[in-house]
Amino acid sequence: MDVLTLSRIQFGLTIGFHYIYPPLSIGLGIMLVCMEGLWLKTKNPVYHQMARFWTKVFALTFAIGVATGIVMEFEFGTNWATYSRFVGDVFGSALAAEGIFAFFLESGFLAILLFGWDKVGRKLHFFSTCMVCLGAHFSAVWIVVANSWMQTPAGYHIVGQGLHARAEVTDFWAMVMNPSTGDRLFHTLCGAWQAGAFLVVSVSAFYLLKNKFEDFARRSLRIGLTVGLIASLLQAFSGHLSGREVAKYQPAKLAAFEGLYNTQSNAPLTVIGYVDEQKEQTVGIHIPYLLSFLAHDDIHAPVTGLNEFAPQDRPPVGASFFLFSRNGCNRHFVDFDRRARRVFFVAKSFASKTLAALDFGFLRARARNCQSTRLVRRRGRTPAVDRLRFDAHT
Amino acid sequence: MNFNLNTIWFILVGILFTGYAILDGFDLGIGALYLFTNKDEERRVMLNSIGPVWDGNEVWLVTGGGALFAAFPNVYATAFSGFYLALILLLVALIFRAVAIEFRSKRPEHWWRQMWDVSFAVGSILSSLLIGIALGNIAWGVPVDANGEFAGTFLGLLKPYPLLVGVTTLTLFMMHGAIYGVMKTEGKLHDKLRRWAMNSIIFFVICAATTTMATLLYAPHIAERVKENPWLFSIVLANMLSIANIPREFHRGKDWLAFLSSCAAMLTLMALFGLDAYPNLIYSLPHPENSLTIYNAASSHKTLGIMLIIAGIGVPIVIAYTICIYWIFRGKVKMDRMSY
Repeated sequence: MDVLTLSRIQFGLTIGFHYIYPPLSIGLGIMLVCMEGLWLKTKNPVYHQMARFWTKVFALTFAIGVATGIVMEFEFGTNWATYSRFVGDVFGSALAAEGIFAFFLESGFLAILLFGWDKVGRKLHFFSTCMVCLGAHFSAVWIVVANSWMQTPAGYHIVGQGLHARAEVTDFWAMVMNPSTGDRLFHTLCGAWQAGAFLVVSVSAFYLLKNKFEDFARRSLRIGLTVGLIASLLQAFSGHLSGREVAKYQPAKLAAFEGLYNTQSNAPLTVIGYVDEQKEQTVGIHIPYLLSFLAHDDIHAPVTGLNEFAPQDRPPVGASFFLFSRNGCNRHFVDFDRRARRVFFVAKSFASKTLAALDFGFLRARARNCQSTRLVRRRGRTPAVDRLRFDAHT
Repeated sequence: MNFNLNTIWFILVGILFTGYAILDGFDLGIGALYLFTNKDEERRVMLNSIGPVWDGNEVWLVTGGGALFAAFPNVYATAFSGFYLALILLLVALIFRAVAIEFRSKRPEHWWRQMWDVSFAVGSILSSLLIGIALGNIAWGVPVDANGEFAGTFLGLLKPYPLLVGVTTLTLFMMHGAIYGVMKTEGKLHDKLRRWAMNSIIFFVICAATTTMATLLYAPHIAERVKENPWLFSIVLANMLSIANIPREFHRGKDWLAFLSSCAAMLTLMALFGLDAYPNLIYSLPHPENSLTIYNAASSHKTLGIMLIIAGIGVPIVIAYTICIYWIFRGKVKMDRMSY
């Protein structure tokens, strides 16, 4: 393997591992604000206990996020020095803004969040929690700006040639608000909220299964599922917006992950299938009109295929298709259901069927999985989740 | 020296790295001194003295790196790809340190705690040494080719002069950390830390004197600016007075003033380093004409201007709440249920 491939693998692993943690911090940040807000409002000590418990988890995800983030930042220089020279003028300002506005805010107030329970008043502590949450969200803003600029560059011009070429900012706000920033930021934040919410859901569900800390777990579960549901519904919507944006600005990318070779009107969406790269066709189950509708909100609109692009300008088709289109239309319409199940997968290994009942029971998607579990109705409680009480012996 | 945007950004990046040295300096120092005590309780107090602030301190490094990337992308690219192995080692050290702080108190077993304690101390010592070696190399000069690429090797970075600066930095951080510890602890550990502080002051003064002599003898280009502008010698004087002030404040029982003196000593050292380097960011040896300066390595004026606005809004806010947070956590360490 050559050095370039190794560098890409190294960077891919770094960024992949890093990216587990910041979204969890963002999502958990929202959860902490909800929990502590409920404590201030209801004065119920269980919310206090909850906030303190999840603060510890937050601290761990934050610490690993910072540690892996430093590695990632350094690798821009160590692995991609020429790239850094090329984009430093544009990219650097977003990174610097992230450091100054987001990281300091987050790490500074984290001190009060973690160690200030007995040192500051409740309101100041709650304010710190909000600042940490805000800092986490700011960090998403600036890194998504930088990444979106890489996808849909705007507000710059190129100076110099060859190895000495570099991009220079001509219009800062055009650079920041490049065509894909808004949609991608919305999509990223929804995903982060889901990640945080379902982490809380999985751990609480595990406690419920073990009949441990029941009141604590039930209330955590309720907050987690509420945030998770809202975020999931928003995510389906933001995913659609992102899809349209990709169709407009990056048609080759859309064609690759949908496995579409020929430009066509009434384009179908491949739900399940595979790409035969030799014959340049996609084999599988197609739903007519759907891709046209998803990409352009019009079932007859033409969707650009890969054949419009020279072979060297095409992204790798098979892998993109496989990784992205695994769930086809499910992705677009019942996005929340799939994501919920994916997050649940980890917890499922502990008690697969009982937990699946919670997943599907709540989402009212597939009743048949509930057969193996016994759901006990609790009297006098109406919210859907509260009615579910688990019997771990089944 | 003329005050254009490039110079302002040279100073701002300098301030960020100085902030990093002063703030993370004391928690690296606490780490370097950590294994001198073998009592679990004392180690926990030392850990908790830096507990609320250490990760905020490391953010100064992240932001300093980000500012360097944005303001002087050529320096970022050359330094980071050129010092590849050294930086990866620094990362390993910083990561082991961070993980050790979070993990060591989670289990009571002796072997578990000992393992993370050693990681914490070794990580801290290695980080301090590497930061010093990097500074030493930049002061001494590194080979840079006509394209602005680093043309040396990893072993080439381990010359005697940078190694000497590395050891000096380590003793400086140990001194700084011990003084911070004196301020934050009480009882037996307090007395121990005060002894360590006095010893590390002696070690630091010996190392600093040796480094100064080595600089004058072997690398006169580093001291040239002070030689040309004798009034700059006042900074050297201020540095020596700050260090001399530390034992005096200890004697008067004003531990926090001793800590401020130590901060002032670091600030003056970094100021001297910056003044000697200006306008070079990476001094090229043996071909000084290839040096990366604040002019040939900078971003466009537009970007520097935009970032100045960002920094002008952000930095005062950061400094304000950093001071508030240190104020909230002032006083001696008290263990509670959220402690490490």
